[in-house]
Amino acid sequence: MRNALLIAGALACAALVVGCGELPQTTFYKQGHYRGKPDALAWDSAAFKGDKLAWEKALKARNNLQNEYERMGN
Amino acid sequence: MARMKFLCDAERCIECNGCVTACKQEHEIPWGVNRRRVVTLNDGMAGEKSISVACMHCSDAPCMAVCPVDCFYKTSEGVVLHDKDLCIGCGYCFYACPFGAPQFPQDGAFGLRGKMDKCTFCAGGPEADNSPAEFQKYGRNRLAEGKLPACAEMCSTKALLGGDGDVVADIYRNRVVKRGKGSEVWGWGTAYGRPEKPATQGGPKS
Repeated sequence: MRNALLIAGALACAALVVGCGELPQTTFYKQGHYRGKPDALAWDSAAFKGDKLAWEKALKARNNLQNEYERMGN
Repeated sequence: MARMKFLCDAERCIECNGCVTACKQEHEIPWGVNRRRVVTLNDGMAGEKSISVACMHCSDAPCMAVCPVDCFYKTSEGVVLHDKDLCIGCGYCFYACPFGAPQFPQDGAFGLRGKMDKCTFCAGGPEADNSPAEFQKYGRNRLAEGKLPACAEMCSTKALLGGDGDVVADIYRNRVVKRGKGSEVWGWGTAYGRPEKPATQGGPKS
């Protein structure tokens, strides 16, 4: 009987402590899972045939062409 | 390769709409759908600023978060794309997007809302690369051809930069240094003016 009272008292104390605590207010966002068709990688195209380095090199060259300071020299 | 990003330099954009035209022409986009558009702030007033806006291919894209059929996916280069075969045209992504990027073709007498269409960073969609099906649904896949988005490559003043985020940032940083202005030309002050400071101290002329 005494043990039961002790356990009930402990539970009541725990409930009080939880009531005074602060719970996180932010929403937990779980990333959805894409359910569509799989897409091929850009460098797996006919132009690059899986050569990722060649694709990156081509894109980098194009990227740097946007820098006119480089094109006309400093 | 870092993440693919767009960056529009408001100091350079002259509101020519060349990017909009290039996009429409490249992907044969129908009437009523604008994957890219030019927004002008303080239009008609001295010191007006324009920026070219499309899908920003967000790192934590809200359109992906709200889509009830999970038709969005992100490529390894950080480009946000979607599967039109799954899209139900509900329009949630349009409400969630802070840039108004998702577009819905209007068709028929009752304004039927079609499947969502948006900027693909010229990366096509989940169909065979450069296939007729991909072109019909998503437009041209320039990335698979080793090219950058048509809008950025066609920009006459190079206000709109697109490509590897690190390279784009380097180009812009170099440009800011060459202009002779400091970091204050980045962001809000560039777009909305800096009335509290005279133009001679680095703020845009207004």
